[in-house]
Amino acid sequence: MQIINLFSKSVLASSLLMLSGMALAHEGHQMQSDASIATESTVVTDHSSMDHSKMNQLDEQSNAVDHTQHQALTTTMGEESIASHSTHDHRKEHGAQVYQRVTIDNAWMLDEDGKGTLDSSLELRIGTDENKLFIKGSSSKAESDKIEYDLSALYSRNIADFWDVQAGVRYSDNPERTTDQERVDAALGLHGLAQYFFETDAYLYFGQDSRVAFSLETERDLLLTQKLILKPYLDLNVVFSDDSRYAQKTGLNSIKTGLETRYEITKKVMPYVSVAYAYSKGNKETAWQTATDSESGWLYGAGLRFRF
Amino acid sequence: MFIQLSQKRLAQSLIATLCLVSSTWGIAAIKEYQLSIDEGIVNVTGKPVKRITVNGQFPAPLLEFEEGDEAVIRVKNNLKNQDSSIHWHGLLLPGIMDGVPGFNGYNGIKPNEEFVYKFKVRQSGTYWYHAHSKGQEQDGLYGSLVIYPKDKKPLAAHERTDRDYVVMLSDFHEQTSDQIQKNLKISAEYYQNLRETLGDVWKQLQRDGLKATWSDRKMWNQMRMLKTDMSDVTGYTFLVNGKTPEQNWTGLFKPNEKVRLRFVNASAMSFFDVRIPQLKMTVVSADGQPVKPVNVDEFRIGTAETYDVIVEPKTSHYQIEAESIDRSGFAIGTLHNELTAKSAAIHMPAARPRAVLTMDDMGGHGGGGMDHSKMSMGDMSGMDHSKMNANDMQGMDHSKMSANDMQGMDHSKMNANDMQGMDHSKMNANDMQGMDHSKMNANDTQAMDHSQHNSSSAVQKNDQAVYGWANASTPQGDKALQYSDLKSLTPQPDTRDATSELVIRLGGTMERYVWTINGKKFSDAEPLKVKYGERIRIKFINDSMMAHPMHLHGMFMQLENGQPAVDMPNKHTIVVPPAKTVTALLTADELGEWAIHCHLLYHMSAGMMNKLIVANVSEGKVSTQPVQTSNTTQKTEVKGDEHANH
Repeated sequence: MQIINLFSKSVLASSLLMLSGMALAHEGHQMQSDASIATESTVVTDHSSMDHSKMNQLDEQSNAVDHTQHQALTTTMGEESIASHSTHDHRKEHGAQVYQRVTIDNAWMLDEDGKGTLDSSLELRIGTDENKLFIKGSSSKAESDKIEYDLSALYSRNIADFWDVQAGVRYSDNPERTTDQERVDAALGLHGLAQYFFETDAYLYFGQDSRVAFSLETERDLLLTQKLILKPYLDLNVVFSDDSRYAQKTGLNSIKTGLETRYEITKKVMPYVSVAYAYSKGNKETAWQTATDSESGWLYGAGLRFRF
Repeated sequence: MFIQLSQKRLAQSLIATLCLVSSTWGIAAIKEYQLSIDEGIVNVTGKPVKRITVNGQFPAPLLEFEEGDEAVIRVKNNLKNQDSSIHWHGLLLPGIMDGVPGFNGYNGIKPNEEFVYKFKVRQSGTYWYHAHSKGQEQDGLYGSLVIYPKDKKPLAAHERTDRDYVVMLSDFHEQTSDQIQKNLKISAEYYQNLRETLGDVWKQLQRDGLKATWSDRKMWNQMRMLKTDMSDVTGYTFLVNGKTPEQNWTGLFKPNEKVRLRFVNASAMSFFDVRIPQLKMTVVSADGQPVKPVNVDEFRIGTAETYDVIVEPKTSHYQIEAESIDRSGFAIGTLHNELTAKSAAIHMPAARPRAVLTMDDMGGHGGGGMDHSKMSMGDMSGMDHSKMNANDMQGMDHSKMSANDMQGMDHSKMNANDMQGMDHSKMNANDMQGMDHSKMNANDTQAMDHSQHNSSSAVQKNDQAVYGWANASTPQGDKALQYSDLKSLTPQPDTRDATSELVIRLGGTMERYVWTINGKKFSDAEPLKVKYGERIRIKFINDSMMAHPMHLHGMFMQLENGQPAVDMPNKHTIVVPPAKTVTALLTADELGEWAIHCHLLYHMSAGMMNKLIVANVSEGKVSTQPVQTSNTTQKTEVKGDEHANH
């Protein structure tokens, strides 16, 4: 367990480092400094090496095939072709580039009793069309409570036009608990755009103490104008089993559905207001906690999202 | 060292080192150019930005040759840390001179290095040149290239003209190509600012009812496509020969002169509908290759295409109007009689209705595409507001007026005490000349805003939409050029039937901004191989809902446009409209590796490109499918990989 924890922490730490590097690189890029290119390229190399470890044989095969063809060609084309191939594969500039996208979101949400929670989330996607690394983090700081957060590192592989399959780990930390504050789950899921433009993420989580859960997040944009956009959304969690000290009730454990209205000042800066209805089933009775009843109620608030 | 320094100084002081060594005494004239690629500050929109210059110019200078010349073009890359390259668009030349990195052993031009292009000029006509490295073309590395016939002797009597101008259309963006490409990858809708809103759905519901609305929208939603996607990138300023509408490029003429206008669409991502109101154009050349004259009122020019037209201006002043097909703006220039006084300002025309894609543009699904194209009012001349008499016309709104022709609209007897807030700014008229407000009698017209009638800055927005990609809202009775009109001026030398077929399937996932040929990006694709000397039918099948201007390097294709083989026009770039199939014949008579790609820059960067290899390949190793004679032709697709078919 300790080892797993250590491993996951180091993965997370390194990904965080990478993340900060990316942010720096991006800012630098905005300022058109030459240094940014250097930072960027190191990150790119970093990633490409990672890519290779996960690439299946398909890519290697195609490389091999390509090479043989090239040799066949050189019989008619002469020596220069070989030189061109050995130095730099220009084809990479036509579809194999590495791109990135960062989304940072902060929202202040109030419940019906006026109790506020600061929800923050961050998502980094970096990679090619086929192979990407997703780093997702979210934290929730309710008034008078300590900050709860989780962080996931997922490898994302494109499997269909609109879909990626993702696999990785999720690390979560809840300081409110007296023991088992930190948890690590394996995550396996789908990310993509469903028909009717529903942006969808669905994951299965597997953790210690027979914890098996499913989460689904889906949302869709409805344009009032080109800049004022409604976004109905649905987040739900289903717990299949949980024997941990802080076990949650099984079944549909929580659901939140709402309507966000954002204004895209630019595609990079998007403030929004949100109204949601949330339900949670509560916790199981264990030696470490008392059972809680289900709760439900309205949430409302405002947030600010950056994407670059 | 000294040489380097002096070169640097030259570059810094942006001196055009254009030297011309023309020797008339030799057998073949050597025509030499020196081009230096630099970074420089350019100011097009009022905001100075760093872009690429060639010999200090933005865009790159015009190069001129004569057929039969030996071209020697020394290209020096002074960019700091990026390779560059120049491709001669539409020219027949040895593969290594074609200038595409990774092809034929050409590897681009490293920083501070020079590459000398040498080739025999084997053709005449209007062409252009541009970078083939990343997005450098968008950033300024593009220019026109004109090859005159030997001794400048016209190819035919009708081509004899008194003036000869290049009209190079292009699109300038305040963001660099690199930023645009990244933004498109962050969100394919990054530049989409004309998407449909809930309001549009509501309007459709009221007009067509729930059932029809649902069935129309269902398909788009299932396909995850936007019917408003006419162009992926907006925010462009459109240029004529590098000049904004305000800067107004002007071509001078004398009365009764014939003027040749060489239109080049050197934009990165834009199609244009081109017209010169009140002036007929005679198309004499397409993609640099002469065609039998076709008289037209307007033509649509795809990215990277060229058309030469001849005009005979009669009055003193004409405006060349090239409107982007997403109706986001115009490239504007002027033709002016040099004997008359020059009128400075251009007149910004009203935008034509924007086309909305229909099921027919979606590929094999629809069939029931509604045609509302006739809905736009053809003629509103004689519209009379003369008896309007209002004491208070606040908030009068003409914004929904849509007319193709509002000549003669007369407001002369309008009598208003207070016309505050009267807003004509959104009036949609293609031609509002002659609209006369002169006798309007108003005590207070302070806030009446006619400014945009003459203003050269803002385009009057048109909220109307017409249906179908191909709908250019050509006024009734006007002739717009069609591909089927094009006939080669001289008989085609090769009129053989195709013996094999090469399928080029154009596809993509808009949402992820991935664009492919035969399902593969260039980075994953295997080259297409065809047999040297063979006559091939290239079949472009567009499975996407965007038009793709497909460009083949190194050889001309004969467009199968319904003309007999002997008359088919030569093309280097063929527009394949959404969901359509276009075929062309190719005589694979140039050995080498040739790029075949979509000439929308960001489609190419995203992967819509491949390598076509013309070589002495053995049967069974080619990418083509033999054409079945008589039997039912199998319409199997070639996936770009090897098909051992025997």
